[in-house]
Amino acid sequence: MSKLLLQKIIFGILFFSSAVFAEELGLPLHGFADASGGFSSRSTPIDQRISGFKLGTVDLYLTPEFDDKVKSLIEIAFEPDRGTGGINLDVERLQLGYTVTNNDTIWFGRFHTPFGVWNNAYHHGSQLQTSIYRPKFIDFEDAGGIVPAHSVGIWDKGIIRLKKSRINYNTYLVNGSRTILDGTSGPGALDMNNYRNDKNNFMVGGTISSYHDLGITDSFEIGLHGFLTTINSYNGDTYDLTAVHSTDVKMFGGFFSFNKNNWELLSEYYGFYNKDKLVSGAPLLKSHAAFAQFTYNINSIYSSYFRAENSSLNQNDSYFKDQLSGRSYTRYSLGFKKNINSRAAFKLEFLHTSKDENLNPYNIVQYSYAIRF
Amino acid sequence: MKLLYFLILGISSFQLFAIDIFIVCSPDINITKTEIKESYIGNKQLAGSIKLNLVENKSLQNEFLTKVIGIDKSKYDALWAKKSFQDGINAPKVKGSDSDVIDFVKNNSGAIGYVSSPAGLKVIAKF
Repeated sequence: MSKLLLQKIIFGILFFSSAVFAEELGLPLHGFADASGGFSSRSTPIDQRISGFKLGTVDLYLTPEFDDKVKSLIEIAFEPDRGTGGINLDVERLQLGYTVTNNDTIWFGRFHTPFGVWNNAYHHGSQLQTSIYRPKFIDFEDAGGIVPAHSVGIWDKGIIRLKKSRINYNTYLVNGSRTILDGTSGPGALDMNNYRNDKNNFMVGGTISSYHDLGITDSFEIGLHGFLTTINSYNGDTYDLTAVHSTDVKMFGGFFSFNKNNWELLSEYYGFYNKDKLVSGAPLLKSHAAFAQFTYNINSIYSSYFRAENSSLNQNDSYFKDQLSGRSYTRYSLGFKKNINSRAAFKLEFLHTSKDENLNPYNIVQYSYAIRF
Repeated sequence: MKLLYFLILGISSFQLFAIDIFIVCSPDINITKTEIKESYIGNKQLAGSIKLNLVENKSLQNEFLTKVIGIDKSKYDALWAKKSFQDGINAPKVKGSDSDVIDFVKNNSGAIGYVSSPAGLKVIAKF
């Protein structure tokens, strides 16, 4: 048994023990789990092209509150490695919060980067999410995402209440991510730098939106988001290596969500304005990615949805070129979800992807059975 | 005879529907009627500098959700599942009866609950 596997088992036992202890103290342990299966016409370990049955994620989270103003959110996920099939253990979120006022909380630690709506609405809770897959370009870093979905640093989340609506805002200062190239400079994946900054590269960003309540569970929100950072690419994951590429990454975009009666509409746009830092006089390279999802719900039991995604990513831009999933693509998804009860859902989804890596289009059909507890 | 039967049934149904719900709180907080809903859907966590300590009454929960919050239990549970997962806050604790809620409100700072009879507690609102 490898040392790493033994460490994971011990950590898992410790976490479960502390969770049981926490439960006895009256601190509820929550979680999500899912299992799925399906077929892909092009089955490779990268992205989401998988044929066969698949263990989903066992996601456990605790929300201990310590006094009037101190709260926390700890989320641990066990999930299969997409490359090897082994089980990985990840501290997905470790947020320590201070409630400044009813309308403002400052979070410290690791969190889901607050851009758009999706990344902070569903996290790893498969049962909450209408579709099986997240939009591909905002998927998690190890699952095909091309923007830093996780961050480590400080995040201020707040609202300004107006007479008939409110302004939501998020600002954050976090470690800048880096790209770990695969082997000999092959494309790799983003790493959010859990432990320290990468050559003093921070990421600073935020969102601002106008939010209107249309009922207890109905709403309309429209907003802007953006971040600034430098992303370096390295041949290895140890710190203080020499960067192979270094890119100034600027992202600006917008998002929109509407939820009324049986209808849901969610759309996000990401515009990238990047520049190579290691080449003098390098041009500004523009790219973009966007998705829109329409959902129709019947009696809070059945949902059907359609999603369109498109990205146009400049291949002269090292930020995209160095990422395994940094290729332009178009994807259409059509799906169906049935809530078996308030804590279990069955989903069926069909996806058609084209333009990906300039190869032939491919299709995926997949089911998922997801629960929360 | 049928008319009498429907009359009795109608009066009984009206009385069932007309259960009064008293929103009660501990003496250390001041909260308005409109803030009750905001508190129970997780949008308000503090009263001044005191953390709100919300409690549900299982025996009255369906009536409370319908009359005060305006949604059914499955939507309420789903709302709290999202709220907890997104914002790191906990759903109100659930107590079984009026007497359990009264005990809780009497003995906890920032406590808010709902009962069918206030038993001398501070009443914020009656629905």
